[in-house]
Amino acid sequence: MGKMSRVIKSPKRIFVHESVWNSPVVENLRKNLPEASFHVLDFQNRENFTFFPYDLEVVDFKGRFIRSCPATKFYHCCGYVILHFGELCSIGCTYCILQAYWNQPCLRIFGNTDRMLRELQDFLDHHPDTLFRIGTGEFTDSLLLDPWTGFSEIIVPFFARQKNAILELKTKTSFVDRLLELPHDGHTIVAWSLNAPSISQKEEGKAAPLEVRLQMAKKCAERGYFLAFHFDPLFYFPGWEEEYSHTIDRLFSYVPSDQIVYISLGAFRFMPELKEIILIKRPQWKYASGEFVPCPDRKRRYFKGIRIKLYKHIASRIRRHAPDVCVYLCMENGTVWKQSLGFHPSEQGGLPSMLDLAVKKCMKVGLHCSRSAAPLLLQKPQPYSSDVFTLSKII
Amino acid sequence: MDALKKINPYKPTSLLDVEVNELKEDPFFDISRHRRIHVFEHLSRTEGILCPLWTYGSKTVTVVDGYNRLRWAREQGLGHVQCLVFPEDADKCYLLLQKVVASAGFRKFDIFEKANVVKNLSRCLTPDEIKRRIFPILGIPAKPRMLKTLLKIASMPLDEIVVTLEGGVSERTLMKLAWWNEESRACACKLFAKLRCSTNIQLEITEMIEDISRLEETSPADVIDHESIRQVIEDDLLTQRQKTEAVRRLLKQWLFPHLSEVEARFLEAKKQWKLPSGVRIEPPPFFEGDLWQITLSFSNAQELKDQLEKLAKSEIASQLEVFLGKDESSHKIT
Repeated sequence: MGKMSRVIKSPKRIFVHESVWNSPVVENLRKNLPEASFHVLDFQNRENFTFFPYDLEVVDFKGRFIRSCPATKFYHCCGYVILHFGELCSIGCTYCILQAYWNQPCLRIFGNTDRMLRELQDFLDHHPDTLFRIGTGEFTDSLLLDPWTGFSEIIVPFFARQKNAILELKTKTSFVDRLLELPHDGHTIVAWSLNAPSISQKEEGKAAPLEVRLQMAKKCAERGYFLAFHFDPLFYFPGWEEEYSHTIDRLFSYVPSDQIVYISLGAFRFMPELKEIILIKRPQWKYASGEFVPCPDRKRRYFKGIRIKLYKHIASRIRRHAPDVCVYLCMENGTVWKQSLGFHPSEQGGLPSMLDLAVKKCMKVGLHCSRSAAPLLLQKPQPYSSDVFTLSKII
Repeated sequence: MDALKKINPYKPTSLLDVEVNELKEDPFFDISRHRRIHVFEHLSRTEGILCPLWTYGSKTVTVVDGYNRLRWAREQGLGHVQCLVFPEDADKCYLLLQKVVASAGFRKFDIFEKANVVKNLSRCLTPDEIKRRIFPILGIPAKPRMLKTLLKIASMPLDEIVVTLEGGVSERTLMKLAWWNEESRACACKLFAKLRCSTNIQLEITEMIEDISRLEETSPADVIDHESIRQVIEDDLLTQRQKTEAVRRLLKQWLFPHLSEVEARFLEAKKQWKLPSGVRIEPPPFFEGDLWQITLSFSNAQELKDQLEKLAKSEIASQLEVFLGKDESSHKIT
């Protein structure tokens, strides 16, 4: 893949809902994109309008900005709170789940940031003794449009003032320049999604190359930001052990482990619809073919033994560099936890508590908080807290 | 297509007896050629042609609806058939759509007819119009690349269509097979003709074959033609059900070697456990998840008591722990 093809292009046409025409985000867009055309979009006639992938919609969002992670009762969820600030991503990773989630032609962000911040402030003030880990990277890349929207200038200082919340900006880009001068007060985690070099190179579209992501992580660490890394999705392919080991070794050659709050691992999983969508675009794509078994949440995952193998290897490689860093599994069951990491989340009070503890220990935020946000927000009950083999005790 | 936006713009002008020899055929309207045999059988069993054919034009009388009746009439040596005649200037797309709407009221179109309708109407309607207006009439779901799939099906040669129908290949399976090359499609039709399995099983088999061929960088035909599968489908001693199960098992072992190994190990271990009669133990499906199940069968309270006692005395829990301990340590996946 050539260098030019990896460049994330700025939006060329921006369609703005009249009511957010003068919002700070739109003002930034006008300032930073002098060559883009700006249009007021009549949302009643939106259906008849043809959008292109490099268009951007700025809308007056009417829904809830704060959402819970779409957990299931079958797998342990991290209890991450989503700050819904935009939808879709133009990086173009082959495996991206957003392809199946959103049926819309172009990126969309929410211009009414004033209401967003009010809703967020009210919510945080209403639960002063609850620690919230809040992220913007669930339905889009947190920093994808930041060079033009300057959204980080709004949200990072906001979180710097909060006593019971931290912000996680999850990205695959190199767009951290704006962050470097912001007053973050140690309340923001900048997180990168990492993968094996060949996966990053071939399957992650216009994402920044792996080395660049790590260089940016180093820059952020030098400016006092805390970091997180997400090895998600992990793929099982010939040579995976060497490749993932290489990425981990490179990671720790760039950043100090004491600034890493946590590292998540998640093996590739997908809804059957996503496989169809990917194969339409790339009929010979091998990564969704293999030992994928149907799971209770309707997704397909690698057969348990393969996942355990992946997690065990990667976790042990991470621990070789950073024995104390918090490593967790994303959307996995207790058996896999126990067999890969050696413990069940319930042994540490559940996954959300484990991550809260990592935040308190590493970032020293929310030390006064006695509650976790998970019970407040998770819509679905979490899996059985005890391990499966209490059977001998029952009988 | 302005004509399609108006209400009934071309009404039939007359009902006439037309000489069979005068009737002209147009492939544009002939969407059910592959159903010829079934229609012929039906016509021969009944009174013959009861409904008039639809035609248009006066100098050249082109058949719109009733191609199989026309063929049957020719075969029977009939001189005249009754025809409902539309005006000369009637729009062809409008007439095809009318034919589809009229037929859809009393019978379901098969996938080839739907594909032919879509292909022919694509000449006068945009892809978006086809999806928005024609798909709902034909009961076609608006899935990604559905239009392209139907166009592929419409371009299949007649003899292949007949083989596909005779092989009992379901519509949903065919939509997947349409994207295979001709050789692989023929192999799949041959396979399903031997298995005669349900749509869901056809889809499962098709997906496993696709996955294996993708991983092995070979064609689906090569997977189907693998010696182990060929042996099964050519084994005259096996029933269709046994063949189906054997093919599924072989493909599963091929695509899921580690899962198959754990399953086999579990079955072997279970044999050694000597569970009390009426007690069944089942792992989570595909060994996914944390929940195992024990089922006790009993017919009265005393039996339940006995079963529970036997179970308490049995070593099932410790045996299972040993199995799971092995399971944990034996993920020798390379």
